[in-house]
Amino acid sequence: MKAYLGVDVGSISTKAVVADGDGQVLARSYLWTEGNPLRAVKRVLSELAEQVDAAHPDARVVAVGATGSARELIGAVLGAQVVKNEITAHAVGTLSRHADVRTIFEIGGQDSKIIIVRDGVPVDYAMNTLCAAGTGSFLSSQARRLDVPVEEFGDYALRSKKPTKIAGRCTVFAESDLVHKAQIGHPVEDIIAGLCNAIVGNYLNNVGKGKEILAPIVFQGGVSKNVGVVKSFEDATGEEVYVDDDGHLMGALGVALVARDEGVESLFDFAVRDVKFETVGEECGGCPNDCEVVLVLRDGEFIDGWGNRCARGMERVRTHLASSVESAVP
Amino acid sequence: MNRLIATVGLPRSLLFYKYRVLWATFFEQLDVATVESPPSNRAILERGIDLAVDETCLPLKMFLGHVETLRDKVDHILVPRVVTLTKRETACVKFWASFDVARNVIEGVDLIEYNVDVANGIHERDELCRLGRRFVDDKRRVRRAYDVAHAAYREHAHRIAGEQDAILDRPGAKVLVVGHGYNLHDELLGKPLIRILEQQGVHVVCSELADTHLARKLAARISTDIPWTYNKELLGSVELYRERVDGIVFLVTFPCGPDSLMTELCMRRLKDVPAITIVLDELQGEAGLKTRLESFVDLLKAGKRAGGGAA
Repeated sequence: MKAYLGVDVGSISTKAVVADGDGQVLARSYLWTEGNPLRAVKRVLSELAEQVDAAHPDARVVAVGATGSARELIGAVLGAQVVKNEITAHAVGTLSRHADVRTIFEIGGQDSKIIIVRDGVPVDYAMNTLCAAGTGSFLSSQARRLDVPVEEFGDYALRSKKPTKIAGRCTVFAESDLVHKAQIGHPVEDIIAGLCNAIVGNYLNNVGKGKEILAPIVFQGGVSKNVGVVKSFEDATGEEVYVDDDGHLMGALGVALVARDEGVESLFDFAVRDVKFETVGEECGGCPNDCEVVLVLRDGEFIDGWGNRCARGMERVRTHLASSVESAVP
Repeated sequence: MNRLIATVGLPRSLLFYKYRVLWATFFEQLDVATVESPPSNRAILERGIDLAVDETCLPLKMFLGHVETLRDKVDHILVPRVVTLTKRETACVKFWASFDVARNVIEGVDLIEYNVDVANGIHERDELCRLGRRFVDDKRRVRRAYDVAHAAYREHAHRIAGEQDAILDRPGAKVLVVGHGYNLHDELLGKPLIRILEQQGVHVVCSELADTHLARKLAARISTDIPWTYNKELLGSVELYRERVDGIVFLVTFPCGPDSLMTELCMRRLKDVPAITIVLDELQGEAGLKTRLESFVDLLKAGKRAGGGAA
């Protein structure tokens, strides 16, 4: 059986799936990136290989897609046929599960986006700019402040009868507002419900500004696991908001399907997880731009690189590297 | 024999991208050499950031870096003071102020200026001729130099408009990038964005290079409320090209007031063309830029496949 591997390496978490030709997920893996995308990918590959061996020993991965903020690095390491931005990947993944979707909300660790779909085609999107208010990191920083595990936020929020109004426009101001509300006696579940409302208000007013939000709505990204935020979205839009159990995997699934449709096949070997990959970063120094050039090495051999504004930069750094090999990744 | 009587530096920023041909031809006619500062790079921007007040907009910071780069390389540096170009409009205040800001923060350079304030009867021709007579004490010769320069400037503008038209007739996806010339054509600001778009296989049409006279008339169809001349031209180019492109990218530098007003206005009124806004600031990394542009192009191509034409 032909199968397709999709890997989505985000700033916070790394997601990967092996899917069959119909888009059915045969194996899945989800873990923290922990600032080390190379290691995270090796770990998801191990998990996927185990699952595939156990349940679908006849599956052969014939195409690979990479997405997420580390997509270029991971694409190079895995020899991916397709390296796609996460917006397209999410749209494709979600459409494979919910063909009638018209609005996709997505809130991740550091960014949030909205994708507007009409008749099965993404027609518009927006992403947060310059600011992390209204993203998962906003919630986790407030959770620390309240000393409530962020995983329990949703249950707290649902217990609230009268959500506190929190100024959610800015993480810094929200925090001082939250402290003030706690000091004057608002119960913690009302504050948490207020935070969920704040993140939703922020999202709809920034990322969702001027967009026509029509049902069916699918909500994904790490924050979609928070039932409090889901409820706030339903209250604010007056529509039912779907959360797929595999919602966090839609980017990985989407890019696996894009790889499938690309039509270029070559057998992928999970043993790549045992190969030594390194990245070397260096400032070019060839001109005042001082581009930070990154090279990816496979067993010491150059396989890909980026960050240079011109062709000279890559040559300079490669030449320099040939004379002094040093690794930047443990 | 070297006939050149002086060298004038042209900072490669702000109005340079509009009047380069006018200035270069004018001085050439007067046997005055011109020296252009190099294309923007990180070091020029860093110098500009050091010189400027924090709240200054990004293009003005870049401008100061360019002026500083020309120090000790030329006898004079040209910085026009442009206040109004028509009776009822105004230029962005940075064009009123750039000469005086540069004069006050950069020591040891001889800045020369000419003023344009049409609403108060001060015209480009008289002012450039006044400046020209500093170098050549011959009224008729200077006036002739201006006429030659202005004709060259007009011809150049028309040639560019023709080139734009040729791009629009090509098959394949086309994207209009809307932004001031000093942003669009800057090596550090707009060029990377244009390169990313071209790597995605779309044809790029630039707003700034439109036929400005026609563009200003067309602007009124979108809005009559924009008071800034150069933004009116951008707005006009949107109206001129929007039916012939598949998408529009608005390129705005932080924290430009006129551009954010214009962009917001366009986003609300142009529902039939997909559009995105890209805001550049001095801390910009290319990663987010690439993600946004790639997904925008994917979306245009998906729309083209589904609808057969502009989405």
